[in-house]
Amino acid sequence: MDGTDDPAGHLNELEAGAITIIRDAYRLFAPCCVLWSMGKDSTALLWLMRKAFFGEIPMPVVQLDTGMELPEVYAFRDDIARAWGLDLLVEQCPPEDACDPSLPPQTRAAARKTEGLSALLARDGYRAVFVGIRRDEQATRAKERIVSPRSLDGSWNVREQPPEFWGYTLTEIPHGGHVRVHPLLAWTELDVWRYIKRDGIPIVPLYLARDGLRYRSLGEKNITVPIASNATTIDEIIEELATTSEPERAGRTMDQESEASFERLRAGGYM
Amino acid sequence: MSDVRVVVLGHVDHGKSTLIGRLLHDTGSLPPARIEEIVASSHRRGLATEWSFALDALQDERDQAVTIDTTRVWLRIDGRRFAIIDAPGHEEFLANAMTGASDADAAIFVVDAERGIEDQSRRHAYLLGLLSVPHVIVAVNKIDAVADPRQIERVGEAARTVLEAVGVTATSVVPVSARDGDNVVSRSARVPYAGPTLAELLSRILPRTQSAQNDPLRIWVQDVYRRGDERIAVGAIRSGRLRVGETVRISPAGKRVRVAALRGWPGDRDELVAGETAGIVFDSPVFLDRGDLISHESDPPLVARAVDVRACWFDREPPHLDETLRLRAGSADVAARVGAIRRAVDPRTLEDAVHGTPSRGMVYTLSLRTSVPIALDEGDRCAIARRGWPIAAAHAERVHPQGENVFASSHLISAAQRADRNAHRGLVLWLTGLPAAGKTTIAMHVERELFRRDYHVYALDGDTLRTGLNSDLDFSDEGRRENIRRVAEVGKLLAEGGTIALISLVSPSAADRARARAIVGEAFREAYVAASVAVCEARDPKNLYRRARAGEIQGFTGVDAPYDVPLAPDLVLDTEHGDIERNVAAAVEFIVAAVRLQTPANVSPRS
Repeated sequence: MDGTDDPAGHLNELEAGAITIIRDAYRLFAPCCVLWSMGKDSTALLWLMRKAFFGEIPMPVVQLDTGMELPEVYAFRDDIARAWGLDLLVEQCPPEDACDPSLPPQTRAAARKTEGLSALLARDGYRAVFVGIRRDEQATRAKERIVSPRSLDGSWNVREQPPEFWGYTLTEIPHGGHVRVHPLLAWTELDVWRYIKRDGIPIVPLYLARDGLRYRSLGEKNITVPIASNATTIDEIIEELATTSEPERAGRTMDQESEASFERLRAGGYM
Repeated sequence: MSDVRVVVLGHVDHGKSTLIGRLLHDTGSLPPARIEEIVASSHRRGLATEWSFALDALQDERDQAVTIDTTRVWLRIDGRRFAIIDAPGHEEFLANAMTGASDADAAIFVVDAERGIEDQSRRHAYLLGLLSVPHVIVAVNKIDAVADPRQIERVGEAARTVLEAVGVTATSVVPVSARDGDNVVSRSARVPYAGPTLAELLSRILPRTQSAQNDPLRIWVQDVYRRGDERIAVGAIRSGRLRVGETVRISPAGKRVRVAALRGWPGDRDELVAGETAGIVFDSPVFLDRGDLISHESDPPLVARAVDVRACWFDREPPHLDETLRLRAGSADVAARVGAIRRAVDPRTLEDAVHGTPSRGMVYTLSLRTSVPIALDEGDRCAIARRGWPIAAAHAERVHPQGENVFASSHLISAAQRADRNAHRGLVLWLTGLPAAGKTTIAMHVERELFRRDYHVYALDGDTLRTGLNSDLDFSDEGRRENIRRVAEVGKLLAEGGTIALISLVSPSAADRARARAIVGEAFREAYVAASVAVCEARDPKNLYRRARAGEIQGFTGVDAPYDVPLAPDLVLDTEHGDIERNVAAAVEFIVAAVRLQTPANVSPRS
């Protein structure tokens, strides 16, 4: 690990920042729910929520299920939900043919989650959805706000976003819409791994290399591929990330389909 | 060590995104696949390799070659990690520039060597002053396009001067070519410059240090959680430190209370310092809520309802005199009326703006009057909001503490003298009950009857007050609380003046009524005008219940908002089972007894 970094102070700052965002949004926007993909980021987000609320997450933990996750992922979900006493809500996503037919095929498969989320919001009326996205994952996510307003159909108006400065964010929900809340926005992939290591947060074993392959980003089995890696421990992952120049979502096939496919997906309400 | 956050600012088209793209490329931070993608994307648009595409991720940004929204990328120099924040230079996107710049440790101020200082250069210089960014590097860009080295020097000096004018000292000036890479990471002989490259300058910057631990304790309460019998106040520690056992002060109420425990998860804490989050349990029950500020007794914040702010405005709509905005300081978020617009400065000229200058980017000095007291310190970073959107970044320049220059005058006439003259004492009869319970109807009949008997009486009705004195208040919890506070204050004045004030107000919260009683003092009597929701809803003279049921009115007492039935009212007027005459007679009898003078020598009013 690179000796000039001081993860302790840095991680404390990131943790406090995320907890502050979580508590503010929960107070201002209830009823809320949190999305959990069982990936490392949203699992770290749940961990932060347990800290924010002294052990018990006071809102439903939603999995947008396409039925296409890897078996290890489902096993992890059920173990953690039991161990952490989560109020787990598994939301079945509509089939692919319910999604925008003009999207490229892989992107379209991912859009199923967008459809699942709109159905959930329409039915249960959540005013805020906590999502574990980060700015460094993908260039359009770098443009996100911590509290991001969405219109009735869930769409993201990237051209007119509320100012955010000095910890001040949007405090009112757009009429008929909802807000997305992003407590991990300022974190990087490396930060998340260091935090997982520091606090001993459980992860899906697929992140660790087996036979020279590991998942760096965990998506559904039809649209994600593992990368070549020998990192069999979290320490080795951290070491690998300090030297790699490959983007995190390299294993997400939809990102490669067209220049704007991820932007289109996000403008339509994807996470 | 944390990431060093570096914001890149400057006028549109002076090459900010290109400079960052170049930094990314020359520091080896771009993966080969990304470089290929940028080259391909540039070619598709018929451009030479456009490094700004490393940042401008949106379709519109690439097509129009302009940065719309702030973004950030990460890179490493000498093994240290930097978060580079690209801020749009276009005037229209000033709020986005602020969003990107607000937490920066350092700034690169980009100026075009050919075109020199332009409008947005000046606006961005002003932002840097507002944010007090500790390190500012001037990058004179596009030196590839300028033949005369003296021109480059002149532009560098001009940048220094513009920054000085807003109190910012440039730490260095470096001539660069973002297009060709001169002096970005590698040295160039194109111009006579012997100083460090941009990357070298960046590598010397340290992140802002957390020195706030030795400042006075400040915790803005975000929320209060119930866990079993325990109430835990949560909030981030902005400055100072807090230990179990210490006594703290809760402002604006000014209550003192001892810290019994500092809750955490998985374990509790004995001490917390600035930068951490707190879960505080007190050793005695104390009412506190979001927006309260916790400090030590020795170093309390100011408590005020009058605050002068200097506000950098991001909205198309300027502030208007008498407009009610929201003032936010920490977690406090209160209604604030614009009492005066003292100055409007155009940051491009640093002079008073000429009439008709668009408000976006303007710096206003405003005198605000808040609807309720707010606790804060001078110099605090605040936000001004409209409809929940932060529209201006503001500093609290001057906080006028409550009571400053206000001295309650002493009367030369006593309450007893007034009572003697009137032959009765003053009183506040506070009629509380559900909407349509009959409060105002009773009050008006009682008023007529007491008037007929020569009593000094006046009926105050909540709806009527809302049209005048309280027309600036909304129906939020805070608005209702303030409404009740004002009505109680008016009732108190009337009673002190010797009048019997009949106040009819739904006042659903027992806590608010208790506050009203505390304001008025011993002349306060509570009358509960009792009728069930079903009966009130059947009456519904103003059609309010029907509209509430239809969802047209939210938070309507009795439908979707609770009514705390008085536990020990001084008088109960049951309008469900008793008729109007009997209730009026009962109220009159009660009041007459309550205002009767005790001394037998005094003559009772004629009856």
